[in-house]
Amino acid sequence: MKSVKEEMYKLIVEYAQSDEKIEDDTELKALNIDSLVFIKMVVGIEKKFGIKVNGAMLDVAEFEKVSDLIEYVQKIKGEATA
Amino acid sequence: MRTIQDLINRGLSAVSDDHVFLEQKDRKITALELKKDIGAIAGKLNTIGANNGDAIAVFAYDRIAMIEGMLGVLKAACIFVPIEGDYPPEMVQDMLEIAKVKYIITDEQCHEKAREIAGDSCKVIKTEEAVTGAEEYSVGEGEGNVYNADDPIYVYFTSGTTGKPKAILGKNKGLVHFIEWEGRKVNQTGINVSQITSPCHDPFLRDIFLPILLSGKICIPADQNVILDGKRLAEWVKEAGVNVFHCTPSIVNHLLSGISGYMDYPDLKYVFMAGEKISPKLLSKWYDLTSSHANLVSLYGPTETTLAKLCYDITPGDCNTEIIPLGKPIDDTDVYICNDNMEECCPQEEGEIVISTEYATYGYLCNDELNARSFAKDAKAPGKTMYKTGDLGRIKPDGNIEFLGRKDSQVKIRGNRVELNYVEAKILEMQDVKECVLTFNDETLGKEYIAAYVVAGENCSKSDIIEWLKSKVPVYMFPTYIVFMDKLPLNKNMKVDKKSLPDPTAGIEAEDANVSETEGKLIEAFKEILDAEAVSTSDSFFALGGSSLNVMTLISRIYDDFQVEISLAEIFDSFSLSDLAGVIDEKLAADAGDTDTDAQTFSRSEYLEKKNKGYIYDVRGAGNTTKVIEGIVPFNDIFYRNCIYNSIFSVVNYYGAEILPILTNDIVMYRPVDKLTLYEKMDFAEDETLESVVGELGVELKQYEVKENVIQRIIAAIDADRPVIIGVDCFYESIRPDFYLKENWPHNILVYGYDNAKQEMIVMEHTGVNNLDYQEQRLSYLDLEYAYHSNRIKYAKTESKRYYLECAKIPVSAGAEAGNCYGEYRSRIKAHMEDITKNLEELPTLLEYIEGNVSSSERIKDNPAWIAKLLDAIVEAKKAQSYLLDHIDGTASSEPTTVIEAILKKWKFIRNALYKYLYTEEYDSELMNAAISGLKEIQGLEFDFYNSIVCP
Repeated sequence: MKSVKEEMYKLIVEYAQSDEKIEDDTELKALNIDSLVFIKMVVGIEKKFGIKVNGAMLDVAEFEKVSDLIEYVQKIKGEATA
Repeated sequence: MRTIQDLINRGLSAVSDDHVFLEQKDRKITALELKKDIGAIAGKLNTIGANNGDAIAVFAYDRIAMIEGMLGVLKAACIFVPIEGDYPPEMVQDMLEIAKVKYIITDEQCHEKAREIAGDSCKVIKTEEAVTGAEEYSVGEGEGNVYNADDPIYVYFTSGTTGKPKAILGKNKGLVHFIEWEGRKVNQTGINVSQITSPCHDPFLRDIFLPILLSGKICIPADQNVILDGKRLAEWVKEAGVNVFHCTPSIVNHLLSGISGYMDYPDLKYVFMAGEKISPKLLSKWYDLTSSHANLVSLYGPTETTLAKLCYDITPGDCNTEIIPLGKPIDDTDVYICNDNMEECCPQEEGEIVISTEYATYGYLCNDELNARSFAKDAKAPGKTMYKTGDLGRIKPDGNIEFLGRKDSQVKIRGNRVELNYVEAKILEMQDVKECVLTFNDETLGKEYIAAYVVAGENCSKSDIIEWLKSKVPVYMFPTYIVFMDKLPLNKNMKVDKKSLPDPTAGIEAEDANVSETEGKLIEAFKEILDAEAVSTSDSFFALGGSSLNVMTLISRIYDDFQVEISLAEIFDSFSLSDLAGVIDEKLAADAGDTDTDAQTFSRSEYLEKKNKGYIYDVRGAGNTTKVIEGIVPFNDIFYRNCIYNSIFSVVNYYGAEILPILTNDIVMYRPVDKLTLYEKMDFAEDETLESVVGELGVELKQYEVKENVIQRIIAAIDADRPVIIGVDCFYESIRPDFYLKENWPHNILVYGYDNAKQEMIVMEHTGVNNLDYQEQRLSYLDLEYAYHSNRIKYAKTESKRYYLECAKIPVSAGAEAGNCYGEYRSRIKAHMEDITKNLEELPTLLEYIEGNVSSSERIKDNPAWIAKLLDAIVEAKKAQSYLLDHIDGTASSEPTTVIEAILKKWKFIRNALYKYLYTEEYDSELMNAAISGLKEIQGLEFDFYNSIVCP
């Protein structure tokens, strides 16, 4: 089974609107993930992991880097950070 | 109860003598002149022996003569019968007979015609004669006449079923009742009211009496062509400063077709639409194309019950509904939905719309049988008369009534009531015609048509029938298609089986393979404008359904296709398409070697031709082969107001100045629900103009009118390190696939570099269709030139717009050095605190409106896209405020920043929740409830925000 991190990388690639290489400290802004694309991505995340993202966290401004988002998903998925 | 004569007298004495009541271009009629003229007309009528209650026709082309004639007739306590100058003689004769007209008042133009038609049956007087002889007749100014609220005062005609028009007799207090209701609705004096309705339709009466009641002005276009030409109409409404616009939905559609880009109507307060179904599509178009604050109102009511009796206030949300309701009854009016036995239907059940009011008309003249069928006493409300409209409808759960169709053969063609049986009867009067049946098709809105199926002798042709009808009925009643049959199909009941009649559009395949190039292009134009399947060279524009409303579209299309100007008269005179092609060919031959005009030089076809050939611009004057003004970067922290602002932010930053003073110049306010439009969703109360604020920052925005060599001009500016902000029409921007060669749209971009080798400009443009972020892009010289000129020609003529702004660094004037920015912001807010408080006190209405639209899985389906757009605009504005507080120097405490961020979060929460719904189509009530409870805190937080600034 793939880790949450690997799955998340795949998802982010799908929604990113740029050719920027995706790494843990890549900023979501650099990937051109704007507020609306972000909401679409959250919908994808919820489906993929069967989780529910808190309403307040639907805002892209809550996450600066790729790693922030992954950590958040790991947290609610109950998977300990590596 | 007041009489209409009271209302006129009071209206004319409520204003000073020099108050202008009527205005038609340069003709102005003051209150004093009006009093004199109507006194003279009334005096003349009394002198020649007209008695109270006599029917007097006013037969005129001239609108002012018509209005003065009507007022004079009423003053003489007589009955007003309007007849328009261009009505066919036979119809006029019928009208005179049915209404028992004794005297005819005419303008100069109709005088002879009136005498010929009337013969000895009635006396004909010219208005001019009455008015110029004023001294003689002004004795008593028609006084001594007795007026009563129950007097019959006017006769209006609708087409009957038997071949004779039906006359409806109006009641004095009925008219007063409606006008006073409308007066309360508009609730403002000194207003300008449009007068474009034909005098032969009763809405004409509101055009005249509303401004008289409200000390306003009746605004009449210079001539009928203004109404026929969408563009001129759109401009006229603005130039005339119309506050209240009375019209049909078709007229609104026509007006919108004349707007290229968008048009601001700052004066317009009310648009009252009546006479036809209003489509949601029309409303979207309205909110898209005008930035008007106007209230759109739908009115409904047949002539029989006096002007209108149902009213509905339209909101932007109605763009997303299927059927725009007729609304609810106005004061003192009841509406029932009844079955065929006149029993009230259950709620939501379909039935006939029955109107009950004591302010209805007296019904039909000399037609007791029809009166008995259509009118009845209202047993539930003594004194009230019920009228069976023949319209089908139902009452919706919210109490609004919805229109569902007609019971009989009456149809509406572009706002006009047409009784098919009436036209049928007229055709049957032709000797050669044996049988005839008419059908009506309204599958496509605005393209309704009547088809006539005729069994006739061999010698009867299409044009014979049209010629015959010309003298009998107005043009709008003409059948679009005439199909000759051997016999009409019958059903089991031996009635004509309308369902098995052939498709009238199928018969007209192109008969002639030999069409010329001009004819070919015209056929295409006819097909597109009339939405017709097949058009042949022998067809006439009008017989195919062309109307006065789309004839202007044809004229401009001919101009686009052939660069030839055709007059209205030339189209009217060309009986067939090939005639018209002949006229065009003649002009083309004569025009060879025409001068260059803007529109000709920058046409789409020329653009495409140059693009295909790879047109190269002569840029020998350029200082470099390529140049980019280094240091200009996109500004994407916030999106503020519009593209000019965001272009300017980049420029201001480039010159090393702060953008904050531009933000502090505005106070961001919420827009009341009833003022929301698709275009404007937030208010920005600004103290100074953008140019002056930016000027104080050391950046000059200089506006030029560049008419030629715009590419060379921009290159020179960039050589001098001056970025240029220009208006463009996205239609020619190949980097905007959302608009390119599809749709015109005014927009602004920042140009700050050029590349002569590639023939491209370096510009700041949005990255994609749904993304407002800017980034550096390249736009070809050719695209830019056409985009610029198209915008300039289309939009600059109607409004002074910032379409070519050169930016330059200027010295900052002494004393204007950036002081304590926060202090200035604070004192500005202090100065506006009263407005802000008022605005925030109204905020709950907006919040409840939004809450209502997301409150359940059912309600959210009504308007999700519109509410999302609204929330986007609010979030953008709140982001800008938050950005401002975050960056401004000199804040006394962190409280305002914290509070505005909290407000922004609440708005983002609900916006995001709504988008999540849009993407999943699943209603998450837990999430939505959390969003709604956040909404409820916003008003308090907004007050906290301003208080923390004003009294920290």
